[in-house]
Amino acid sequence: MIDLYLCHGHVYVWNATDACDLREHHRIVGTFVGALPRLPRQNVRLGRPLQLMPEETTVLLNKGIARLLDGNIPPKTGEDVSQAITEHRQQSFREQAEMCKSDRKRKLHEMASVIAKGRAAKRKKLAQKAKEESSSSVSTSDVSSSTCDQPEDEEPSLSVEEMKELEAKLEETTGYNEQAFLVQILTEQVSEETQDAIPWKYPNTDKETLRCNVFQDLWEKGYFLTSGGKFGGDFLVYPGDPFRYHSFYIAVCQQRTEKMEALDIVRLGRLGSNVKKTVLLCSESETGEINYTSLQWTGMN
Amino acid sequence: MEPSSIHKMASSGENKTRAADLTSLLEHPKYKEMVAYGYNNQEQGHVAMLVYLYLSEAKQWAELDLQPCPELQMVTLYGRPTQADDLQVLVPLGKQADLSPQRLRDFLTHVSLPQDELELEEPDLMTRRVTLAICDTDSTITFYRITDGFVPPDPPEVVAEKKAKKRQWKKRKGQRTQHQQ
Repeated sequence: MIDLYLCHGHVYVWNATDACDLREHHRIVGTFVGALPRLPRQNVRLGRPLQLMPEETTVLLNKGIARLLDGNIPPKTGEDVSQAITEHRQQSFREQAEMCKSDRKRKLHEMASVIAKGRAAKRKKLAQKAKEESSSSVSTSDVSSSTCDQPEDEEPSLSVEEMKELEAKLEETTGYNEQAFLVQILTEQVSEETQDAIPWKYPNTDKETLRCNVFQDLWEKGYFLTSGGKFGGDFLVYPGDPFRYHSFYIAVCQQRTEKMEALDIVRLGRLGSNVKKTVLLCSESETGEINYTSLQWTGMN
Repeated sequence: MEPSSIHKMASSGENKTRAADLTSLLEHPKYKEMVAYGYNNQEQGHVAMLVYLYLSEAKQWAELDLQPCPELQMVTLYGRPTQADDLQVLVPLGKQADLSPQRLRDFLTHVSLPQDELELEEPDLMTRRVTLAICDTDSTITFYRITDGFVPPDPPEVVAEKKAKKRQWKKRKGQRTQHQQ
């Protein structure tokens, strides 16, 4: 069951999996209206929430694919809630500190040879210094050089004791800076509370009823539909996912008896031919089935 | 419309020659045939006449004739641009004609091809198709095809082909005019 949230008269889907599911399995496209979290200063690509048309909502509810919940419930406030959130955050920090520690340990093992080399060099330097001091009194430079060359040939490595000592030092470190940790931003309520479905009051007028019926009929025929406002109609009808196809039809919903002039036919036909689409006049017959009439401009040569 | 009323209308526009033209139009045998159908719908008859003249004179259709439609009390036309084309049914309409989705459905159900022609045509013509000839007051005529059900737009290849043909035709036309000069 997919959760739809009604908020100030608009219906939103917040869950990413649900949004994908709607598009891939239920041919419901909707419109993304939210800012992308990492790209908040552009509006070319938008992200969640997914806003649904009233007709899309009606179909989903009619088919029992989704349920409508109240999206206006304000987030809870109070001592316990802030306590819980602080606790949640602390827990997250502890986990991150642990991970940081193990990461450093891994690095330590990787760098063991480098550290050993450094230490050996340091020792050698100290030895040389000490020797220089002693050589100023007794000159036995030949002997000392031969003894110093020997250990350099073999790869220096840390002994087990040295390693243990370093690890223990790492273990003792506690002063991690909390500002360097990642903070999880919650997009859903943490506490799972059961909500009851609320009623959906649409359609209200004849026009809305017609739109809903047309939408449902075309949707059942396997088409993808989006809002047709861009092209002066009620819906745009796509043969497949709108990412892959251009729309074939501009659906215009009209009551069977609604008056129109011949000029309206010219307007609609011209509109469709300019964008290489067929205008689809949709009306309901007396028996309640939807009649589709295709309208196309035609030149007479 | 009676000839006298047409005459009155035209003379109010202070154009005697146009009035004379209209009178001659009203004496056209095809117009008389329309009047003989006895539909109380003179304006539509007038529009039908204009469309008839346009298609037969300006467009030189290979076949064109009138056909009464008693269910709608309207004069319709049928014909084909060239012998190779399919037969088309046309409904002449004035710019201000009252329509509704139901009215369009009525066109699709009632306006038919002549009986003897129907038998000759392929049965898939049952997806009914009617061409509306919409006539402006300055006698500009535009044509819109209405079809029952879904008619997908031409695929891109067909559109490209049509464009290429048109270009070729224009080129040839250009050559011809150059040749004449």
